[in-house]
Amino acid sequence: MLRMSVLGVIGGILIWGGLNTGMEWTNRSEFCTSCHEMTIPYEELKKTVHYKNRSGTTVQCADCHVASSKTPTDYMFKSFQKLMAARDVIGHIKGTVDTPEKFEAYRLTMAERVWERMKDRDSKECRNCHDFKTMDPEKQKDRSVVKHEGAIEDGKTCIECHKGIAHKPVHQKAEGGAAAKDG
Amino acid sequence: MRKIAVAVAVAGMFLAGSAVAAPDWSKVPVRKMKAFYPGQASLEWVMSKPDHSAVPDIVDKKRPCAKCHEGDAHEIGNMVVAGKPAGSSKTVLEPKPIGGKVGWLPVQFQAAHDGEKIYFRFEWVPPKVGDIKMDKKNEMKLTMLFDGGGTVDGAELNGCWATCHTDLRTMKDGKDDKKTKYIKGADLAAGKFYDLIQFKSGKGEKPVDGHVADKRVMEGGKALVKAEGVKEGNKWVVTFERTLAGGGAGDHAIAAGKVYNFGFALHEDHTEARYHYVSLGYQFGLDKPNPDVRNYINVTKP
Repeated sequence: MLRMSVLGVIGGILIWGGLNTGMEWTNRSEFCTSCHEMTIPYEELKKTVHYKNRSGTTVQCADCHVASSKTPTDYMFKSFQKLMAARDVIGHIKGTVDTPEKFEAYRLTMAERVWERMKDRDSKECRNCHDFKTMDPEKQKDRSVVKHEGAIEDGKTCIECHKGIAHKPVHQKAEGGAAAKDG
Repeated sequence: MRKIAVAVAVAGMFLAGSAVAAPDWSKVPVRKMKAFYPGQASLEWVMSKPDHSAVPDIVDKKRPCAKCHEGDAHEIGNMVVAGKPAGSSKTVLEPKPIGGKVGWLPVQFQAAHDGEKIYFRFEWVPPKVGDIKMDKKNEMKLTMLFDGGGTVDGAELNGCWATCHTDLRTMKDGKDDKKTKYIKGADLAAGKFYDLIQFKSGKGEKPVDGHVADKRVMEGGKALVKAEGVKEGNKWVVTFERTLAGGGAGDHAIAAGKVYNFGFALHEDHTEARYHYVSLGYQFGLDKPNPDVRNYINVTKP
């Protein structure tokens, strides 16, 4: 009886550890970009301030596209996202965006999916690192300070204004026209 | 004989009194402003969302230009003067950039009053510029526009921009090369106009006291007592002395209790029309602090 319990516990730890490791293994940017289609947005990211900047703080694909583990309930969402990532595998097999031309044609559709998901989660991926309360108005441009005050007043979420900051902007094609840039 | 002597003495006192005009500017707080190059940025451009994404902030939240742009007016000026689009706009606001022209100038502004007259002082270092002379007579002109205390729609947000339209001479849709600044819905009798005072640097040129209603009128005002421009070292110093009461055609009365919307334009280097440096919209009032409003200047007796 005791042996079974010990084996069970060890087995549980191994399974749980294995799941976690698998999760983190497939969260690495190297894994994402092992599908060649994903090198397109990755190269775009490299040109932005979210990748390279004065302080050296940087993001990986998963930081925005899979959610982090900053809050306890993140794990459920993260696991769900991982499951849904099966669609990406199907897309890769089907060759949905396997050429730059196909990628461009599909870009807006993909972007809109991401925007919608981010909006539903009140830009959780942004708020994992950025917080209105810890923004230093002395270090922001006047118009940014004013806009952020307005955003708090109006209950707006980050992604509503800050589209096109990590990859090639496509929001100008979406209805409603252009919005703010980062920087 | 004695009566005449007394009369002359009294007259002399009054004359002497009117010569003692300027306040002690060292006691008047300085407001640092940026005069930047606007190119063809008309009111219509400002209110066009594809060019200026902040339109909802203006229309719904009633945010004055200075609130967002006092900090980056110099960057905007630099982009425009170089013939580049500003911000997220695709429109080039200066189709023919003038070589060597700077995008902005820092200007120190002061204002004071003495119960009867109001005094404005502007100080800046003129830039070295090119050899294109649009206005041969006047190396420099400085113009102030102000309303009658909220009498021009939108002036509390945009300062002078209510007068600047895309169909004026030298502007993008300008077809009449004599068309000058105007306000939509101008009404001289109802106070819907801007009072205009201008200093011209040309030798023998007289200061201007006019107004902008349905067009720009460069005369008729009776309030401007004096406008002087002096070069102190490498700096220009321009001062205006104007009665508070006004009184002429196109003159606003300046009184306590009201908030006056104003802006100024600096035609440096013999320029004309839209080739000026301009300020964002500011406000002044007499003896009434307003610390919540950033672009408001409280004018007091020094």
